[in-house]
Amino acid sequence: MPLISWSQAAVKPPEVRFGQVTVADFALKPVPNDTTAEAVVLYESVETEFELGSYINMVSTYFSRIRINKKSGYGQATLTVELGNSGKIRRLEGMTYLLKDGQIVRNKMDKDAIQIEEVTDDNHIQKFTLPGVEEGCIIEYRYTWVSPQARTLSSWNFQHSIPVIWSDFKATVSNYYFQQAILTGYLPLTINEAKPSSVSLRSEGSWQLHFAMANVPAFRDEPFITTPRDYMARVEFELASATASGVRSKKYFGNWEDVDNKLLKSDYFVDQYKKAPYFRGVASNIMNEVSANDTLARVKAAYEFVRTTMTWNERCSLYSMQLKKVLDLKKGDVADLNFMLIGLLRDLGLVANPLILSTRNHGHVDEDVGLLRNFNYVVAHLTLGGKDFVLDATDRFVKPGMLPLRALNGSGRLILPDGKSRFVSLTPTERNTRTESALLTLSTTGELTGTMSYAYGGYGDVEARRSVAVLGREKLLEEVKHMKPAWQIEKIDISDFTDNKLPLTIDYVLTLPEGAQVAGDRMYFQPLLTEGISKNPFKQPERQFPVDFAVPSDETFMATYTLPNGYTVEELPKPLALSLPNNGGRFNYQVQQQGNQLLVVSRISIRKPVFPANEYVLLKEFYEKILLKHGEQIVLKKGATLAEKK
Amino acid sequence: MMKYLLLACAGLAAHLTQAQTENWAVSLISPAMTLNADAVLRLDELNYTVRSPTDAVLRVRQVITILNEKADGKAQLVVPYDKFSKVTDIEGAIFDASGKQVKRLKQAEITDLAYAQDNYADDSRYKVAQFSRQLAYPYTVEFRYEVSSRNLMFYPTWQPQDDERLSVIHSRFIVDVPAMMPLRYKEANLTRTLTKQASTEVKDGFAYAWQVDTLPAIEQEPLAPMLAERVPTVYTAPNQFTVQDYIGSCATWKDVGDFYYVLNKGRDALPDAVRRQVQELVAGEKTVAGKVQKIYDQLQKQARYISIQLGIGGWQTIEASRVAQTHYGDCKALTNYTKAMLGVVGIPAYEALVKAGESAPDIRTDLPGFQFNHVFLCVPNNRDTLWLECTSQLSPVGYLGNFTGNRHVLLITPEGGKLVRTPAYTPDNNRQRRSATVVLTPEGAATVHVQSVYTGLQQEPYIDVIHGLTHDQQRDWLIKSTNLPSFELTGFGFAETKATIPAITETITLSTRRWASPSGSRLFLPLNLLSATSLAPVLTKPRQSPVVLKYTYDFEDTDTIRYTLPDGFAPEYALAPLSLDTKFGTYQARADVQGNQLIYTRRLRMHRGRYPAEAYADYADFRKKVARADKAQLVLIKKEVAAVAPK
Repeated sequence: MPLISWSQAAVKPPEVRFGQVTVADFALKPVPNDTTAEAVVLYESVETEFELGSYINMVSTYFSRIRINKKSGYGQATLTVELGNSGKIRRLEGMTYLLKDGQIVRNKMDKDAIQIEEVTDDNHIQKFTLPGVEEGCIIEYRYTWVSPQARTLSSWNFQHSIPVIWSDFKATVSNYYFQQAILTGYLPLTINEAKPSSVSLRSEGSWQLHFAMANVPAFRDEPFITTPRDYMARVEFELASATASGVRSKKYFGNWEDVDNKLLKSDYFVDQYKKAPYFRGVASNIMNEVSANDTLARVKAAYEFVRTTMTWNERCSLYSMQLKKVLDLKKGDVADLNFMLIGLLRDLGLVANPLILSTRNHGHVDEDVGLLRNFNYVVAHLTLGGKDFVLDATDRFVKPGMLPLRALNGSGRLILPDGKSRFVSLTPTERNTRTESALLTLSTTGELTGTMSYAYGGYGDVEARRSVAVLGREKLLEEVKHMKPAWQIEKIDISDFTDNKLPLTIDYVLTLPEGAQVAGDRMYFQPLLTEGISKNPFKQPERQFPVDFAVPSDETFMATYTLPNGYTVEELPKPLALSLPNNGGRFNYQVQQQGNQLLVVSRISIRKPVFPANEYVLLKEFYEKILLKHGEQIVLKKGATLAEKK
Repeated sequence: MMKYLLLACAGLAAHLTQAQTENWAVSLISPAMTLNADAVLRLDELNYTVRSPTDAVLRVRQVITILNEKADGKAQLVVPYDKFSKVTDIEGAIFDASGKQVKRLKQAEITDLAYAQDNYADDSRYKVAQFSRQLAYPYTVEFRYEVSSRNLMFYPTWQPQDDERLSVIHSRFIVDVPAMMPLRYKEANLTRTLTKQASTEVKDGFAYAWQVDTLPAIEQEPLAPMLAERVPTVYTAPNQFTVQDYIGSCATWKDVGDFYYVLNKGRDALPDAVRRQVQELVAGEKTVAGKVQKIYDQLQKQARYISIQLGIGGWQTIEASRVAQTHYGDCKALTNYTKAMLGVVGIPAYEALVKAGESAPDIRTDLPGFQFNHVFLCVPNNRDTLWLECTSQLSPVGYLGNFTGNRHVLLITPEGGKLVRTPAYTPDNNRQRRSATVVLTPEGAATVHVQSVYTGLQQEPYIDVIHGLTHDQQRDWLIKSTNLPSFELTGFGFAETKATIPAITETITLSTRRWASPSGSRLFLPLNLLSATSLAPVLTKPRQSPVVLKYTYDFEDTDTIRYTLPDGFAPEYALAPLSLDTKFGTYQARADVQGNQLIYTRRLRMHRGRYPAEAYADYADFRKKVARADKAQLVLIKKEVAAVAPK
């Protein structure tokens, strides 16, 4: 959300000055009060302004006052400031305060406590550490960071791993540099002000920004999220435009048209996929071999060619520098590979274009803010049969039209010339499915023998193929033996994983020597054996953030058990059907007897990729009930024949 | 300048000529050398030339073939250096699979980096050379470099096969020393004998040469001995050496200790105010142990550890007076500071040099030298010895744990170094005693109360949980680490007992809807949900290496669970008690019913040991039997139903 707006401050910021710690500060508590936090930020602030010297410098003064409660919080007293190759620290001060018998004892940081380290030639860092740190002490430090190169305000984190009582951001931004502010996270600003001012480098005037947050709780990570960065309270800036002497001379990207145009003018973007000069022969081969009527077949042929010829070097990128060299090495990053693919598709006469996106690890893209740096990935886009169709040559196993899991993150922007660029939803079209079918015969000693087959679909298929390809048959078998100690595997059959047209299947011929527990004249076993859910994936009582599974899923288990002669069924688990609200998911479970056979079906479908935090309790309960059901057992009894029981 | 350039060109030409006579084609590697390997060390030459007690040069040439992406790291050269050493002449080349040289290393591909940013202050750095161009696998890289050094406290160790998944075709180690400075060395796992002859590098000196050929990669197996015990290695150490103005010797442990003593002597003066504070602090204490406890408490309250690696190889401490002012320091500084405080009240203490770390092998006691990476304090107290880990804010007096326990350390006394052993911890020291009550409902739900007492090595993982996490984080941690299918944690607490063998008591209460699983009239009750063990890894090939159960196997776990059965339920059959007695350890488990109470008891006691490869099958069998017994379930049935059973 763009933040530059008028607003009234409802809360007055505390007045805190370096060196003026009082006895009351030792008792200051955050709200809510986490008495067990290792440290608390009592106050922190930054104030930035631009200064006219031989260059225009950006000058930021940072100030922190932290109370250290526990020994594990001592790390707060050692700081590292990255200077880059031209940044400088001006006026660094530090002080430690202890409360002894109602008196404040001060210990000042001296010069020997400050180190400058050249990590590499163009990255210097400054380190400092405070003296006399003990449990219950307050530390303070203040320094001014001067950068002759920066034009964009540094981002500011309101939230940390420890609670914060007050976090304050102020900046006086010369009208030469228009800044766009973006707030992320789930917490509101306590102060949100922006007003014009006459403060000037020359006479251009400026804006004064003031943002603050009071009582920010410590950040808590949770499972099933994209990246913590997306959830932490933070403000970031982007240079919207720069002017000189009040005349707009240089425009930076502030909106989507600017983002689109920047890319469409970049040699390292648009020029790399206009055509694929290095693949000439390949395009004509495809055109000779595949009929022009079958567009999809041509697309697939081009896709298979690029992804089987080229290897991805695991790097994400938006630009490509040296396609010729990449081709030589047969290895490249995301942009290299996908620009090659787009070029090849274009050589086939197809309208292929780049679609830029942000990976799950890289964070969320806000459609309201035109910011190029929020993107780190580019894939190929086509329109087939009037529908969006995406291809990513970095993955050898996804089906045409699917994106790898890492790229499933909200929406991407399709870059088209003539102002036609638009957003395309990346919501997955495929699910993560796995179907297990077992055909087993139970002996009177409790041994089960027969077959177990796995079939995979969608993302399940992609990942299964990948593990077969990466591990190889032998290693895979070794892994399975480790994972399933109860299995004695006599034979394993893996279908051809290189054939993308057929779903991957893995078939075992096996024995489970202790498949059922025999005690006296009874036998007991779990219908899903070791394949049921053994733990609830959701263990925490509550949740702050949405649960992001990335893709919907479907897990099915089907088994047919042939019972030994002379045994009857004494008890069977009852069927169960459950569903989640808003068509979020279903669970179906059934155990049926047919003659001397038992048929078992369990199916768990999760139909939404993302569940809001307020559906968490239901999701947890859903898995809880599945867990209970999967734990139930079948009881067989020696004695009367099966026919009699029926 | 012109002359210099010409010389450089001549050097290059010489290398190029040599390159033509050598062939690095991958096809020349025999299949036996690629088995289990990610990389093949084709040629490795380590020449260490000692010219004088203050001057040595190490010349290295390495040619390594990278077979797959797992070994990419080995295509990168990392050379550490510091104020006392200089890296010169890094050269490199990269070859494709056919052995054709594709490119030579450029200066721009060599970076100079600070050693470790985690250290607060450190003057050591390293050069990293890496080819910007990556070739298809397999490919081969060659590196040559020289390091000259003015600090001869450390001589190199030669261990060409430093990774299981590396095979070695040819490696050579040559040490040239002046006759006046005979080399001290120890060999391990060598098949060929050393050759010693007149040196061509050092006038009137000797050249010691070792060589190995054709070492295949090593099959990785669970519970195998440490690599260093299995591969050819030569350890070397100096006799006399000089660092700055300090002269030292490694001839005996006494000498090694002497050097450290002299290097750090006179750095323990404390300001008068601090001396007075220390005297006041111990005023009421009569015993040495009492005084030590007071001073150590004060240190833990006041001072904190910060990593500082400066000066003479990082071996000379900051003055105690500086620590008195800043209240921080590294291991040397905090140890020296504590020693100084003890000195104020007339208690002698000695620094103990140690190779610290939970998986660090013990030092070689037969080759005196600077094999250490840490220092702590030893306070003699009649028969008892009080050990103080001065970098820890939390350790109790006397407890060393797996960081410095169970190994040799060198005490620094005014009379020189003395080698002694630190305490080892036995199964009786490292216990987990768990007692629980479980009240079951007919539906299988339960309310559970568990008290676990961890001692010695078994309490170590809990220290950070108690001291480093907030209440919420502790809750999250317990929820994650408690081995139950599903539950609500309703309460928890920790209590700590600081002693020579420290103990931590963890108390948790929880409720669960699935402890037991109901099916119709039955309730399936797994007896040991909390402490169930896993199996030993399955072997898919015949075992080759001995079986090593290391010190972490010195433990005893006991469980007592008292179940209150739901009304009307009784076991459908009785479970026979189990007792296993093997050379690896013992196990007992039983379940006894008394009215509506079912008492399950279990005891697993293991100990360290080393066994031949064939013993693995027995070990796996023992673990399998234990795992099966841990999974035992009891079937409970409603009595009325049992009474009217069909037929």
